[in-house]
Amino acid sequence: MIMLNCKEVTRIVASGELAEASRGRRIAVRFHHLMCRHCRRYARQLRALGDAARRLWGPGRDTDPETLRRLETAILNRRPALGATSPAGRTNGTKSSDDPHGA
Amino acid sequence: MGAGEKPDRPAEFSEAMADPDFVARIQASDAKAFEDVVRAYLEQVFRTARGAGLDPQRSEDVVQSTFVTFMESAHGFEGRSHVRTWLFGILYKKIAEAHRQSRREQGTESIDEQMEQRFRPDGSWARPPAPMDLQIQRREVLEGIQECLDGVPTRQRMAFVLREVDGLSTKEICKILDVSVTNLGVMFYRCRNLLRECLEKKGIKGR
Repeated sequence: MIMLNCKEVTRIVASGELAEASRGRRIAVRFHHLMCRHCRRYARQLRALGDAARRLWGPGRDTDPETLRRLETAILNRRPALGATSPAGRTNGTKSSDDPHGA
Repeated sequence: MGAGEKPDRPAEFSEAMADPDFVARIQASDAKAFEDVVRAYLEQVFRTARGAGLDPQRSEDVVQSTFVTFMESAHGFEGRSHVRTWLFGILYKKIAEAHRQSRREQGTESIDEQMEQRFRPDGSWARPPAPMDLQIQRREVLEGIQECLDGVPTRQRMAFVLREVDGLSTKEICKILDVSVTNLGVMFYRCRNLLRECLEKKGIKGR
C-alpha cells in the first residue's frame, strides 16, 4: 500500500482530489487518518467549513421571498425588449460559443 | 415535466433544460423558456452572489444584470454545456467585475508559505492544526467565516461556494471559472487553508 505523509494527505484532502482519487489512494488516506489525530482534526475542520458555508448560503438561507419576487418581476419585465436587442445593446461580452467567458 | 412547471425535482428540471428543443427555444429568445430559466435558477444565483461576498443590494444588481446578459447573449448559446453552466459563467464575470470596483483582495501566495512552515522536511506536522470548535450553531464561527472569506480572491471564493454550497461537479466548476482541473485543486487548497488559518488566528477555541 502507498504510504502518505501528513503534508501529502493535507494536500489531497484540501484540494478535493480525494473525491476523484483511485481506490488505493483513498485507502491510503483513510489508513493515514486512522494513525494521525492531527490529520483527522484537519479533515474534520475542513468538513465543518463546508457545513458552515451551506448554513450561511445554502437553500432557504438569506433569500427573502419578497426580494426574489421583486427580482423575478424586474428581470421578466426586461424580456419584451429582447426581440429588438441589437448586438450593440449587449451589456457584457459573451462570445458566441458555449464558453461563457467571452472573447 | 414540461420545462415551464415549477421544478419540484431540480435534477429532473435540469435534465429538461439540456433537451435540444429547450436549447433551441433559448437560442430563439423564447420568452417562456427564459421565464423557466429565471424561475429555476433565480434563488440559486442570488444565494451564490451573496456567498461570493456581495451585500444584498449589489447582489440584486448583479443577479439582474446576469439574467439580462444571459437573455441578450442566448443566440450564441450552442448547447454544448448546460444552461446552468452558461448562466453561472456570466454570474462569475459579473461578480468579479463588482469586486474589482469595491474590494481589495489579499495575495494568496503567502498561504502556500504558511502551509510549508507547518510541516517538517519529512512531511509530518511541525505545527499541527489547533483544536477549534467549528460547530455551525456558533455565531462567532459563522461571522468569522464571513470575515475571513472577505480577503479571499473572487475566483477562489466562487470555487469554494460552487462546490460546498451548490454542490457542482469539478467539471462544471472548471467550465464556469474557465480553469483547469489542476488549477481548481490549487484554488480549493488555498481557499480552505486561508479560511482555516484565519479562523485559527481568530482564536476560536474548541476540540
